[in-house]
Amino acid sequence: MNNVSSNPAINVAVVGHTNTGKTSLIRTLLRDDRFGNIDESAGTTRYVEKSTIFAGDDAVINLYDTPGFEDSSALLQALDELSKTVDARLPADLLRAFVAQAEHFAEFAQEIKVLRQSINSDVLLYIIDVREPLLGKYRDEVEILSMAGKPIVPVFNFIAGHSESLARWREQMATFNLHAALNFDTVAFDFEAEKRLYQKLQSQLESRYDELQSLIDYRLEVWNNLLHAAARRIFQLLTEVACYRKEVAGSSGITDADVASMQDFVRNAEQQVLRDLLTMFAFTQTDVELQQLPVRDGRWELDIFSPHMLHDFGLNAGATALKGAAAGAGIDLIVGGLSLGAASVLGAVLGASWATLRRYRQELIAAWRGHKWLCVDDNTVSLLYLRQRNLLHTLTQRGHAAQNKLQLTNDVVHVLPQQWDRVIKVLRQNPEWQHLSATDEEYQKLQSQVIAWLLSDESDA
Amino acid sequence: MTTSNFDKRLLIEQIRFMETQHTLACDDEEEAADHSVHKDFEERLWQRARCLVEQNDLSAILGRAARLSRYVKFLAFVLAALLGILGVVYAVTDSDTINIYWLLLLLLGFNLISMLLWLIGISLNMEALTSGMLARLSSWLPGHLERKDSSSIKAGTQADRAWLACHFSGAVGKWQFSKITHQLWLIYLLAGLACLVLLLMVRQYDFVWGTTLLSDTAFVRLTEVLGTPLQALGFATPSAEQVQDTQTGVLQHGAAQALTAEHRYHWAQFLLGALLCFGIVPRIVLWAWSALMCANARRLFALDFYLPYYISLRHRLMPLASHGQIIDADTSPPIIAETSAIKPVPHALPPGTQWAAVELGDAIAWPPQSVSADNDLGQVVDRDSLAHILQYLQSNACPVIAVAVSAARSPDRGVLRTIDSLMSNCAQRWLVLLQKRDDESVSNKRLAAWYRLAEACQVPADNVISLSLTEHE
Repeated sequence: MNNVSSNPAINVAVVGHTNTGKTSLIRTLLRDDRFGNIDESAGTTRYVEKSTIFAGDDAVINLYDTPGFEDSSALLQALDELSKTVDARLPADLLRAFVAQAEHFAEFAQEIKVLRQSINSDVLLYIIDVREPLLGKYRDEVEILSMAGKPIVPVFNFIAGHSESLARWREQMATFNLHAALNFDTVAFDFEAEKRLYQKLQSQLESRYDELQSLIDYRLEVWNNLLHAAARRIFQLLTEVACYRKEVAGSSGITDADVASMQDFVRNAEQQVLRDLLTMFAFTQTDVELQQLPVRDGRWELDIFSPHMLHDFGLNAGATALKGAAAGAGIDLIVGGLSLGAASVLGAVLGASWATLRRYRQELIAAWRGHKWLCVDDNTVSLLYLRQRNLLHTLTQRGHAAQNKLQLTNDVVHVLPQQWDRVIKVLRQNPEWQHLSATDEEYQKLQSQVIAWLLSDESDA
Repeated sequence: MTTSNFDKRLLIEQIRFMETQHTLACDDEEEAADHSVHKDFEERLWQRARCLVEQNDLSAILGRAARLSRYVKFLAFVLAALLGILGVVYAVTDSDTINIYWLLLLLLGFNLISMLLWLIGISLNMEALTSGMLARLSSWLPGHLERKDSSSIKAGTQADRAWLACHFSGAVGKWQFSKITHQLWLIYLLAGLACLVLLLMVRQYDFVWGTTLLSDTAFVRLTEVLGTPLQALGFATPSAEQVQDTQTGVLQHGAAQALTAEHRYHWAQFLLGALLCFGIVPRIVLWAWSALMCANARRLFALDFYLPYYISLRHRLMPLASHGQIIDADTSPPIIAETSAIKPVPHALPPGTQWAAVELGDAIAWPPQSVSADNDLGQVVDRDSLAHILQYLQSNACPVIAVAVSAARSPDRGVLRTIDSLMSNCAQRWLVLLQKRDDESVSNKRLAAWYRLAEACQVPADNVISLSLTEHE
């Protein structure tokens, strides 16, 4: 790492015609909504803005947002004129001479900024709006940029639904010998797309391969940590809800207020998770809309206890539901909670039985009084699992929804894992897990199991 | 003074617990997020925590739990010492004879049982056994604290909770409890030993022993077994005859004096040696071991960076990329972007109007049916096509020109220059905004941009017209 970090960061200039989404691309790459200005009219960005991408503390890439080209044809002409008066051995020298005489070319103020930055960069990302026709001015732009003598990576933007024009643009770029092009939709974007971009840079900048690899590895690590953290948060929710218990006097004694307070508990718990996950994935309101998350103002649109939910997620209503009571209420069988573990038995034998007794005291007292426990029924816990898993997968595939709108809404199959019932049972048997962040071995095992389920692909479930 | 990693993490955890109630603000957070100073995430967290402590004046609140625990520990030590002293005094002061095994049982018996329980607990990793009463106390304490100051400082309670959670849970907690347990027993035994030595120095005791259930030979054998390691350590221990001599039944009352000073000396040595060898030394060893393990556990104590709290802090303190920074600023005068509410309308053009199109794109075929081939100058798509049209315009008079553009596309400076050059020799100028369909929506901003272009090319606003292509096809 140390020999790597001593190198200066790779300078990458993001160039292209005006309004092709240069700033959007950088925003997406940086996951920074505040970067630059975005507008549909030409020449929104009229300055060069720098941002640095880090692998840990090492600055790996300096990304430069530049103003767009607006009049490359006239610029090329001006360069032609200049080449007659200036003795330039290399095309780059001609560009330098042009930049040096910037005051004589006031009308090209924007383009001069681009040229200045291009000369000083290691690689150029040339952003193309593939919806645009193949006009002469674009060819002129590439011609001017190639004078800088830097590797150019064409980046095709707005590719969703424009495969024909994408093919034409690819062909066009190939005529300039630019084959290492990249598909990168600023609307539909995920970690894989970002990785491909870095890999493309690797192929263009052989000498900086290791630094870029360390960046890819670092981003992957951060990403995996994020996924794990999110899955763990969901497991915590499932634990909280499955362990929820409220003592009531017999099944007939359950009041509406009891059920309502149980439902509120579940709603709040799920709400917290939604908020946490949106924060963790740095999801903004725009992202929520793009992804078509059924979320409004940071809240789920559909209540977890609404009658459609069970049907939507393919669960059998009434299987465990409490007759006559409101949705989501279940009654816990006390016997289920009384299976003592081996350690507890030994502990009891050795005289530490007070702790054991304390653990089951509430059950014993309830049993003696003939009381029962109001808990959250299995269906609701399953529903939470399915909905959160769905949310997690949507969050991790930022942008895909915009690309395949129809597929995502219809084709999701909601399948509970095979040993799901066992998970709920174990959770219910350990109500103390609700409160403490358990260091228990059994809890840890169960947690990694559920995390694996949550993170697995839809088809594996 | 350098702060240990554990203390840093403790402070960070305390801040986290406090921030579950309400987030704290820190002015220097930007500074903590500065990538140029090479610091890992934890170091940044600590810097932020210190800044929060300073700015919110938290040091008193954060230190409360540690202070309280020091008091409690001190009290417990005093209590343990008192118990040790009382035990010895109770066993030996009612007469001039000391029941040797009774005293040993009092000082070492319970100690041994507790030690065994602890060993079983540690080896089987059973929380209930290792932590015992102290764990109960610590789980009860935070709740108690909360009740005590529910009105005043909630944040303080959270800080205390964090302190307790860090010190008394997980691996650190296990060894911390062990350490304190051994410390307490050690103090109990040392106080007992000191008291015993004092009493043995200033008073003369006779040593006896007795049993109800066990056989006499058992005690002789026991003394022998216990004495072996003591002898190796240089303590004098009573011989088998001496042991038998001192059994309660064997001795006649009043005949105690007959016991030789050697008997007393040997028994006293045996007693002190047993206390040291079977009580104090094992406890010291276990205490040292626990202290070592505790220090190790503290060293290994790690923050749970998978918590949403830390994930979102990582976004802020260790961003994957820096925020943008303008390095080549815009110096040209700002564009006055007044949005025009004017909507272009269809309008008939004078006969003989010459048509040119500029960068229409693939969606619009040029020329449309309404433009006859005679009047069509062609479409500008690159420098050559522009040069071609300009050449024609220079040699042929063109009183009325209409430049057609696609309304949906956005005009740039190049388009403006192109249109301007096309119109330069023409007296009457029209700008025609082509629309694929009547209902094709064009944003006001885009329209305004076209009107600005028209103005720059000296096209009167009335001469900006729209032409929908569907109605002619």
